[in-house]
Amino acid sequence: MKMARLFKNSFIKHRFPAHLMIVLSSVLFLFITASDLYSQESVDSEIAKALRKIVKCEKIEIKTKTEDNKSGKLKSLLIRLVGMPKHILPADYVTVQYANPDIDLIALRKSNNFKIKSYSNFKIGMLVSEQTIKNEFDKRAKKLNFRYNKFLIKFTPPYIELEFDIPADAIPLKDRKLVEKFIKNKRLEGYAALRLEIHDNRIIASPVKVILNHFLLPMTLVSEFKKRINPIYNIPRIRPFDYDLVKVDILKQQIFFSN
Amino acid sequence: MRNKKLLLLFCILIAIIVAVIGYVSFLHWKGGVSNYEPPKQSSVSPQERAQSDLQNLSRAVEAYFIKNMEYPQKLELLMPEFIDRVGSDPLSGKTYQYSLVETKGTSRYRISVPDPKLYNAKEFYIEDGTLVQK
Repeated sequence: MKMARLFKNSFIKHRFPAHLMIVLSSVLFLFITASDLYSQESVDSEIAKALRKIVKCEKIEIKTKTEDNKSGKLKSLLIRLVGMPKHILPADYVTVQYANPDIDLIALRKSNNFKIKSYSNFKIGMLVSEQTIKNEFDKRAKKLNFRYNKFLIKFTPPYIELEFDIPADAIPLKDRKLVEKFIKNKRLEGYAALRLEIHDNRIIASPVKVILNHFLLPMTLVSEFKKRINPIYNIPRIRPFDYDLVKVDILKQQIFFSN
Repeated sequence: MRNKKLLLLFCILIAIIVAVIGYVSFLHWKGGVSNYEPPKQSSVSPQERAQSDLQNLSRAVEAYFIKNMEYPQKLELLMPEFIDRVGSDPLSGKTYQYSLVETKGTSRYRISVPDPKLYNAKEFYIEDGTLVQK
């Protein structure tokens, strides 16, 4: 009896006041929302960390959008790769977009592997700037000890224009035969306007106008030229993404590839 | 008879030589530095021009997205990296209209001609790369 009274008294004495309950529930709510935010941020950084193991580039940025706070399902996933290694793929920016992706979170958290189980839409785009192309050309020319008086590249959508003055022996022997008649003083000076096409990740240069040492090349010769020089570049696939680039557009200062 | 045949053959030969010299001269004349320019686009109807403008702007918007991970707030931001100039609708002379819509966390862009009625259409726009004219 005495014991029961004691208990009752202590309960009355330490009863939870209403205002304390409100404070506690708000703290709890804050914890839950904070953990949601934290988990979204942590998914972003874990994806970036997993990709860094496979993709070598200067910077990887991740942007995710969730459907709502409760389900935590992703509405979209954006991955931006900045500054790809030039010897592999001279791209300045590569952006990958997944719509409604279902990421294998277990693989991501346990073994730090980026794996997408399913998605409703996938887009990839690459940008290569005019300056990057110029730099790459200069680098390769230096490497091959290839001296030229002039080599200008200009983007005039939808064409790429080239103006050049190069030694004839810089052209491979099998291709040189084709232009032999136009060589003057062992040099080739001229102009070319070309369009780009892409098939199965291979870039095809399609010349539409070629002038060599003051002679406009007839179209039959130009199409023969096209056959010999192509494909000019094979774009390597960036793992772990699976895609085929099928579109290429020449913009003012950029070449834009997309799937 | 034989002389006539020979004369005909001679004339044909002369004609061939003249044609070859003419063609070579033409190629030489067209190969001057003043011709260092891409082939000129053939003239198109205002409707084709508007379609092509919308497609070019759309590509530039998509390319901007690749670089910035978001669509531009206005078309002028595409200059000078992606386009030379925004351009204007060939029939009305007004600039193309651009809008960004955010639905369920996804951004969509739309570029439209200012007055679709001029093209006998209720709607004439490009949205996320898809051209609509109806």
